[in-house]
Amino acid sequence: MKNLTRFLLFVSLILFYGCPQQHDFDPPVSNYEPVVVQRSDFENSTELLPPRTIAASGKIYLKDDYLFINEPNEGFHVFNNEDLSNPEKIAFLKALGSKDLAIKNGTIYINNATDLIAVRPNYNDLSLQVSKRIINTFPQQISPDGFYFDVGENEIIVNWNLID
Amino acid sequence: MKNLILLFVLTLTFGCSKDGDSSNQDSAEANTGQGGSLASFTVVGDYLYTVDESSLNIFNVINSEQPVKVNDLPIGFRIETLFNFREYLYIGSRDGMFIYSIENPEEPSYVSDVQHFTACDPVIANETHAFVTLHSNTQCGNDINLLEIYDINHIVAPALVSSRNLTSPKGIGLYGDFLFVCDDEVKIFNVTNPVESVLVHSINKEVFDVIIKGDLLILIGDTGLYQYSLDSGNIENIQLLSSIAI
Repeated sequence: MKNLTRFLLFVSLILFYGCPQQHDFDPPVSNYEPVVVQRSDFENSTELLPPRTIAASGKIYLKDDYLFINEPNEGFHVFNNEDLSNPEKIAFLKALGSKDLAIKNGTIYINNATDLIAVRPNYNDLSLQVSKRIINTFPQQISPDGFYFDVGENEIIVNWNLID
Repeated sequence: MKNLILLFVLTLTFGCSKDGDSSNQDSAEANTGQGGSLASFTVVGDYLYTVDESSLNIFNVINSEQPVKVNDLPIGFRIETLFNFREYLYIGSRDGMFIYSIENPEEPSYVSDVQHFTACDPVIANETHAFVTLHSNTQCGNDINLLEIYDINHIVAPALVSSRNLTSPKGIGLYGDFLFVCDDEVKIFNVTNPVESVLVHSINKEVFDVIIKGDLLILIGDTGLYQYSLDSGNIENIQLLSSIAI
């Protein structure tokens, strides 16, 4: 009995002190609202565009002479890095909801929000061939402050806006 | 009985570590690129491994243009990073580090894990040690910022050999016996003796991840990307090649 009491006390301590946010009596809500896109629009939104300004930086990837900088949830800035002293910005690979990529041979794999896509870019004419799209293979994004949102079957969360 | 099982697992583990080595690394290097330590995607041979919030996903990419999903495994919660060295995947999560064997590439198998009660960021490894940075702020009451080094010679039971306080460590990279850690600046530790890592140099840049490929060092931060040349004969000889403003 004494042990049980101790155990319960221990559990309560963890419950109460584990996370300070849980002291609040209001149910916690996210400070973000999701940016939701319909699947039909979403699938047509992946393209290779002329280079543009980098608004924010994420993960990086190096393959041969190409250097990629992710702009979280927007896509990848592509640099020709042949001359290490003068990397040249050559394209922006737009991929909504993206955070990461990997490359095998000339094929780029991207987490396009809930989908895995395999693409082959042509930097000369800024065209992009999507050779495969595996839909709904990744979960919908969680908000930056850790909340789950329910969306419709054909709706995809591609970004977050901070609520003022 | 328990010892017998352990012995069996050990035999299996060490038996394979010699075979898998060279082919794995060489073929992977030849046609894939390299991400930073925060990567959640990695190509190993004919397979693409990715981690999402809770799972490890496996795609067959024998035909590189036509990936096929072959498996997914629940790992834990708030999974963040994935690193491959030889026949192992090192998975970094908010709860700790998980090690999986990809000896059977479509059926990764659990090898071991190290649990923390705090945020745990990326993990990288070499033949003998795994390097983990723990970075947390006010999220769960903890304020723990550490570089931890685990002896993984006995990979079924990683042993913590060193733990040192840092300011706010994030991405990490290995350059031979030198470990680059993205802290309040980039700190370079000599880890020849992992029990006693020694700070030998630093780069005055606040960044969150690093790629080291040969003698090329790439740093990425919120305000810029920086490329440097490294000199294996003199770790203090680091030359800035270029920078990209963000």
